[in-house]
Amino acid sequence: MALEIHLISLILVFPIVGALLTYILPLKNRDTKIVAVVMSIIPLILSTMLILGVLTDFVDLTQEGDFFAVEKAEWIPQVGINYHIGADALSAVLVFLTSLLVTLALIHSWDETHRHREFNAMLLFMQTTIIGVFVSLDSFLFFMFWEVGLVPMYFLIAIWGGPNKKYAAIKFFLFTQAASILVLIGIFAFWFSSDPHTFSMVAFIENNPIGAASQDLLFIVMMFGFGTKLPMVPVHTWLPDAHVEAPTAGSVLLAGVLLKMGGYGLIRFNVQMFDSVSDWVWVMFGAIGVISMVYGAFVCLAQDDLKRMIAFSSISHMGIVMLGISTWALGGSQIGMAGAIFQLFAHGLISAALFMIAGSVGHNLGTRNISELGGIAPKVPKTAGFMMVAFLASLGLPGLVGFVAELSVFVGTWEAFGLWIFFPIISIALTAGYYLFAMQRAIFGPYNETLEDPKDLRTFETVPLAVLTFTFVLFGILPILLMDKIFEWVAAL
Amino acid sequence: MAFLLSILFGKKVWEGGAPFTIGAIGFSFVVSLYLFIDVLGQGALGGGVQVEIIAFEWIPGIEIGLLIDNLSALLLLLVSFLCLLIAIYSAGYMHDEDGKPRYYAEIALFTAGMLGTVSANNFFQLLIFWEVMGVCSYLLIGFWYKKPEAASAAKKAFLVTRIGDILFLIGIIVLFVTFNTFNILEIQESADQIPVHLVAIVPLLLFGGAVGKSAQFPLHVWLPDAMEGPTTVSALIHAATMVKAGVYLTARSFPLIANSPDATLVVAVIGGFTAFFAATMALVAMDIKRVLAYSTISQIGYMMLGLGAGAYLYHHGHEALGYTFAIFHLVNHAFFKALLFLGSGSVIHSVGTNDMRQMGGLHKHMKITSFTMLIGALSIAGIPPLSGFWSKDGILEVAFEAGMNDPSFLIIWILGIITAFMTAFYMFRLWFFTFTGEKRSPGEPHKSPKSMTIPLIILAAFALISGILTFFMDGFGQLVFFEQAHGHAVEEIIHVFTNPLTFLSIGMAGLGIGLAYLIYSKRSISSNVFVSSKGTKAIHNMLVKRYGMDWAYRMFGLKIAYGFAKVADFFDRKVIDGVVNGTAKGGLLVGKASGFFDQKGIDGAVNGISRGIVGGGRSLRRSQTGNIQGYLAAVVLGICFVIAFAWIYIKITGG
Repeated sequence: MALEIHLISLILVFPIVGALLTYILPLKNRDTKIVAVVMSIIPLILSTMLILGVLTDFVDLTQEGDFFAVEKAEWIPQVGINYHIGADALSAVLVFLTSLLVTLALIHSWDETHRHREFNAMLLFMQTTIIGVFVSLDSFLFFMFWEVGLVPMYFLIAIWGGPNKKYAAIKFFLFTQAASILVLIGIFAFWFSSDPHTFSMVAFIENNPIGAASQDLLFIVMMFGFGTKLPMVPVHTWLPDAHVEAPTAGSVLLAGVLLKMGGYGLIRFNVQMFDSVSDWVWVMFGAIGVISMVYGAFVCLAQDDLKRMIAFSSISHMGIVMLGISTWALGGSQIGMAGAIFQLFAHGLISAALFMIAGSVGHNLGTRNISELGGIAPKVPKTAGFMMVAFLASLGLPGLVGFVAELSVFVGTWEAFGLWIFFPIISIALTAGYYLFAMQRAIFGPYNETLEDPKDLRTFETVPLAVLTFTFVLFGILPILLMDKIFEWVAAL
Repeated sequence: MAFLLSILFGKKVWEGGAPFTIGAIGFSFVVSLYLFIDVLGQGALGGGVQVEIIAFEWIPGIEIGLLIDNLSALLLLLVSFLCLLIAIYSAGYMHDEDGKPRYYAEIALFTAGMLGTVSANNFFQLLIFWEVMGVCSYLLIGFWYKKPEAASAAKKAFLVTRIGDILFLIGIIVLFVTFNTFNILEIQESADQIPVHLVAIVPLLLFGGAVGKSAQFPLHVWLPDAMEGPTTVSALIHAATMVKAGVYLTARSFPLIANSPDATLVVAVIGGFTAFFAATMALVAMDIKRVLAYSTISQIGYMMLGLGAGAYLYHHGHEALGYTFAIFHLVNHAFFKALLFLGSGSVIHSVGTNDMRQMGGLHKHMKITSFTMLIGALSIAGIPPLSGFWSKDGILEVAFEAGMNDPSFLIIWILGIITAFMTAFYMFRLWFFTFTGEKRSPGEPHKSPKSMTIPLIILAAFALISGILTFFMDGFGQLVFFEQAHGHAVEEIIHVFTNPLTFLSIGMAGLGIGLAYLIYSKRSISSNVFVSSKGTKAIHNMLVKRYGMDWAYRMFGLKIAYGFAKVADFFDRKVIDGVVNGTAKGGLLVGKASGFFDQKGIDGAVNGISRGIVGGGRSLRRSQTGNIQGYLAAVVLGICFVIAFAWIYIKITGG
């Protein structure tokens, strides 16, 4: 029996209701938090059902074409705008990731007391908008969620951020706003060219209405639009500032899922819709990916602030996504494309853990600067232990989740580009270099006595990290859980 | 045969202390022993046994499983046995240390990693366990992480081996794309179908991984520093097991190497040169563990030489004897080097220093250690009938035989012979320095506990007889071989002792021991002659400075990579962000002109101009707060503009 309960709509509604409840109800910090966590766990359960339904047969979902649990209703029929949502393997994975990270981020920020009602409301509000992006099948709806999603993140940085928060928030907003305009140009170009006019993404995927002559230019426009969010070099500089200033929960969601919106957009629009893009454009696309990988890794090596270092590592790791996509486009490598999608998921988990650790270090030890730490391992063993696990996962240790994606993308790179593989692979060596260099200085060596009263992780910080560590191992050892359907999805492209 | 257990049990003892770890490793030893006997029972002697167990699919097309054949059964037995002995020894050695649960957990995880490496049925799985070992090695080198040297050595070990790992990774990627499988047996079978342009590259990429893991030139620099870890770790990981994984990998890719004469030559040259090169540095080292570390590098060089020369001969239609002797040497070396390390650990434990100059005259204080180490030294020096003799001599003979076909191998053979001399010399230098002469250590050396001496005795027994023991199995060539079994015990012994080359290498060893005796025990030749005389002083300095290679690597890391990173960081902050902030400032000026911003905003912008590019951000912040309405208005106008633009664009290009 197929599930007829508007599954995806419920996933979208619960967080926003939760946001309103936490904002309106005059509760104490602790009670607000409980409401918020509960209201995020419900969509997490629903998202789990969704991913099970899409990837396995455990949950039976209605299917319509390539998409599951599709819902469609007219919204503004005069111009062909519909409330049209649904999920396939690509979006189900990301929806699950988002729901998981929001719950964990809420738990991890248990002791955030400054304007706590607004804080929790913003996080939940953001969940709705991000998931909305992943499930929209109508490009206008997609753009609406995309735009509205900027607002809670802007406020998270601007209100709960660090000393330079206003600058970072404005920079974040302006950058992503500029990118949105590029995306909007793309969407309207699709609308104007389609006949009859429609915003339906399903229709665009089936048949790109844009003439072959203008596909290259429009592709580049949208690449910069989504690429800014990813982010790719050279439009990445908003990210380090945003991360450094954002509160921990904000950083977790920013790196964990907001960046994935860029990757999702690239795959959904640039990959699925464009069908006659010149090779040179794809070469440029892959080259930007490689430059991001190597350049980002080099910059990491010079960073002192843990958060800034991790931010640049995100840039480097998102370059892998672009490289993976280009191996599919230029060399027909399915494993490279599957690796790119898996990297979105893997990096979401890993970067969330990295930012939780960095946030806790800053909070509990009073500084995030590597040069001001030193020898903390015996004082705060849990912090050091989780930091090491997260670092090792991020540097692509075999057996953990990040490696699966890297390996797949590099297999694709060899298939498509042969010996060019030596350029992107430099970043692997550099990544190991900056993480080990950071660990050597921050957690090993003699204890830095100037650190006053170091505190180790508290329970509400340990639990999310333990959950994430479990996922590293689970999906590192059994990537087949996701990869099976991702491969099928790629094969159907 | 559900022997997945023998890999997984190691991880179960994560929290455990010593007894738990020892018990678990003991269990694995029993399983391995059963497995080994089982393999023998299935007719492994003289014939091959190959059993594959497929466990599950990892990602589509990649299956995880086990491969049990002669080679892996033998190594499983060896690894679990050594891990067990060293875990027992640790109970005494690490008695007074903090953080024992951590230590034993890491040892247990390491054991699991090593067993997984040698029993993997595909290169991919091998890589996973290979890295598990790497992490354990990293953690255990840095066990005393409060010491900056230990933290730095751990990082160095991980990074340097990582360079090799990357080559290995590319290698298996290329294999996967070429053969569409990672499976070792399938790849071995179809090895000769490899495309011509990849025939040399692929084995060399795999060998690159081996060079990193087994500390071969030019990636050898991490191993001497790795001696910062506890001596038990050095014995287990950095002498007996993990560093051999490179040899194992090279052996597994033997058919690939044998395809390409160029690759065989590279493997042999790297091996032979490393053997020589590392031995020269061992001549002058004063740290007892570093002498042994260089010695390990050098001996693994022998194994690589054996594999390279063996592959060369195999390529030209001979038996793959080099393969057999290399693995034979691996087994023998594991015993005597673990023995030497544990012996030196016993000495260090008792004297409290690594520096040989502060030891001396310890023979009468610690007789068991002294005698067992003497056996180890004789064995590594290649004195018959101890174990090291049989395998080392075999390798040199293979190299000589290859040299008859190709003069390059003859040069390598000469290096090997000289190395044999140096090996005997530095090993007895160590022994005489430590155990004979006057006592130089402050304080009273104390005896080591039973848990330390019993493993020493067991290992000494193996160092003594593991060579002879194989003749009861009709020669080692019947146990581990590539494609076809070699020789029989009696023929082999006769062959060895009728070959003039045998006596050359024994003679070289004797010469080395004799010279060491004259210099360090009788002191009839002063070692200062070598240190201070003009001609040799430069050489001595060069050896002490390890040929400047560590320096060069550090400079590369510090100046070039880190320097480049600084430049990139500067570029990012000043140039890219400068453009960004500059643009924002420009935007503000436009805003001023169009009257979007109120007086405060104009002030902010005007002030901003005078502050240069970096200050631009700050002024931007001041001017924009509180102007969201104006900004939103701009956004709305912008969107209208965009829609219009898109419409015109489509009209013009004809969409």
